[in-house]
Amino acid sequence: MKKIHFAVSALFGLACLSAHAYENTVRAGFINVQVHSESPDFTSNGPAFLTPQPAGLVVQNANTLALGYSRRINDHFELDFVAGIPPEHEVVGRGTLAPYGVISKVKQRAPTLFVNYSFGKPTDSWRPFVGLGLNYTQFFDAKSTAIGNIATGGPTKIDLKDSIGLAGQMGVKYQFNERWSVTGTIAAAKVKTDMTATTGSIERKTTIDFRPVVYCVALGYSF
Amino acid sequence: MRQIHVALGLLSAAVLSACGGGGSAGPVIDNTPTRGTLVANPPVLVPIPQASGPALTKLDPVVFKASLDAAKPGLTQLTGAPKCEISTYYMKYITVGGANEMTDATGAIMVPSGSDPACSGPRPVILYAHGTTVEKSFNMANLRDNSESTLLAAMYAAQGFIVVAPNYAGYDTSALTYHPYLNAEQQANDMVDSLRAARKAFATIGAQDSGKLVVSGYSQGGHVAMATQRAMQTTYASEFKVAALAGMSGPYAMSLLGDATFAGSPNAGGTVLLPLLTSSWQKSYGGLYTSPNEVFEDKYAAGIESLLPGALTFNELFTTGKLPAYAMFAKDSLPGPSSPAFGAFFGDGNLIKSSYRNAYLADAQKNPCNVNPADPLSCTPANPFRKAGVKNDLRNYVPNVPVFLCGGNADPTVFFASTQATAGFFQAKGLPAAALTVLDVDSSPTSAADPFAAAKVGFGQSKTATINAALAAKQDPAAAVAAVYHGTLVPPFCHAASRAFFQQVLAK
Repeated sequence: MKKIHFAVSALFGLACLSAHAYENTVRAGFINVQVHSESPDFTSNGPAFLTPQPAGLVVQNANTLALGYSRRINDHFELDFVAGIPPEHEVVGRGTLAPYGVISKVKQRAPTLFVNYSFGKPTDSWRPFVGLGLNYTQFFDAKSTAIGNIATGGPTKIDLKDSIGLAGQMGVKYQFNERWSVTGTIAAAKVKTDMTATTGSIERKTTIDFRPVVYCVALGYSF
Repeated sequence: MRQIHVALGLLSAAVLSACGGGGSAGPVIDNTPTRGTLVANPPVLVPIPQASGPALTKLDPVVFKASLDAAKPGLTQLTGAPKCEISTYYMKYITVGGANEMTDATGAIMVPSGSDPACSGPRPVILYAHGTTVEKSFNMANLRDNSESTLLAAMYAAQGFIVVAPNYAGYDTSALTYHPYLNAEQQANDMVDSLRAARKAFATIGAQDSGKLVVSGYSQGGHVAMATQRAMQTTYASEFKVAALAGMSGPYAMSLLGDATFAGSPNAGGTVLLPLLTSSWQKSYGGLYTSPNEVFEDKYAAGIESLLPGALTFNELFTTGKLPAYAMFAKDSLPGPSSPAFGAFFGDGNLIKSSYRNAYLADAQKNPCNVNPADPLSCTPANPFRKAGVKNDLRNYVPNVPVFLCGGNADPTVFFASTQATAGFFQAKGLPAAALTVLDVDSSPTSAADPFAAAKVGFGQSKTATINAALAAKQDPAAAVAAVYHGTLVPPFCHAASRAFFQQVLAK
């Protein structure tokens, strides 16, 4: 949490420095997170018969509302902060866990800071851009479903480590007028986490590489 | 500026929302290094996989009956048709090793439920000790693959008993690097701690303990069960009140059996059991040897201390040459086999060095034990193995609960002499005849009123079927019977008779 506070206050600081109009843009829109998760089968510190292999998981896609803020640096560069209402992903079983369907659910917040480079001139209506940045993903509210608890053997605590990784995006911005714009982006990030599920005395572990591709359409307002 | 504040306010709200989350709580973990700690509560509920779709949490009695009869036609005539649903739990608990070092072990709890009156309300508890296994992965919570566990579930859990069955320290995921095999004190501690831990789980898993406790076990477990009842009588009387003890085919008279083996009457499977014993007693007490090659021939000595329990099955131990199947002693080691039946245990590729056998026998001659059946352990052996044998011989107390001892008189693995000597000792020390029942399932019913006629007749039929199958396959019928006598023929009949004994005691 401390890190997020820091990120937000840093942004706030940037915003306060803004003396000129139209250097700041806030955006709100729709995010579709396409997850292409890869994770090896669970390892277990318990007996083999209680984790019949192959036992794995697949993380499902999620939608949410996007919120963003960007700050112009010069005619081509801007700082771009993207966040959103934390979406909840359903996690379904794979292999011997497949018959159980949704075995767990987890929410994530994934604030990402990009430096964007926009092509063309500031006065262009259409401006494509590319961005490179850093993503921080925090997982929370991870819970095992009722059917998941049958698969694992009882009440299960799920823990996913925070992830920090590179992020990249490309997009295009259409400027309606001086204040209003719409932006479409496709972003990808390295989001990889170690997961531990604790049931009774048994800890089952895996590593999940989410390999997310995030599609976003947002309406922007500049000031 | 105000807009900026609002915008950032929104942003931070989004980023920070849903803090302090509602993730699932999971089990309560307790790693207190105290004997009897239940490491995780609730323990793991073992799922019952289905051909398709998600697993079930309870084994249905009708489904269980079908699987029992499919595995062994007619078995439920002996066990009774299952009445209760069974939920099986896998627990981890804190206990001690053979040298009193702190360690952990795992085990099973089976909880009956259902609408049958035998399955609901307060239920009696059976604390069960399993027989010798060389496989470290052996697990009493694995009803699907473990035949001893399945038989136990059919005999007890399906009939309304709560079952507590430890896997023992040194098995499954236990941190102990050896198994304190037939270390009476440690194994009793292990049983006590498994029951303590199970009791901590009972409320969480819907097990209603009636307060009636019976203790039983087969083979190694027969010894362990008796050692446990002894400990509960002498050391833990305020904590456990045992209603009855049923020992089945157990090596209670350890010193007697050890001396018989070395004198020239080795037991079947002895080439595996002996290394289990030496490793256990060496790690527990020390002093058996400086190096295992003082006891074992060089080709077996390297790594023998960590061989058992391990990844290999009984047969794999032989086929990979880790241990000989029969040759306990050298072909020319004297004295030779006590009867031609023991000839196979003397041969090439033998396990025990003749020098070790000679030293053992010299001590047995100089400091004999088992001289007076009423006082068999008044001896002072100098040989450390013999000392440990006396230490772990259970003929040194008199049970204060009804005792049932069951076995078969021709058992080649654990000689029935152990049961007879132990029963004889108890009688000599004043255990009333009414409190001691000895059953030899390999005998004819004494009369029409023989309460054990069914067990005896059933055993006889099983034995005859084994002989007939061997004859049909042109195999030696005596060898065929010997091969399955201890592990397959006797257990169901002794189990059924033990349960009848328990039910009779509990009904009083």
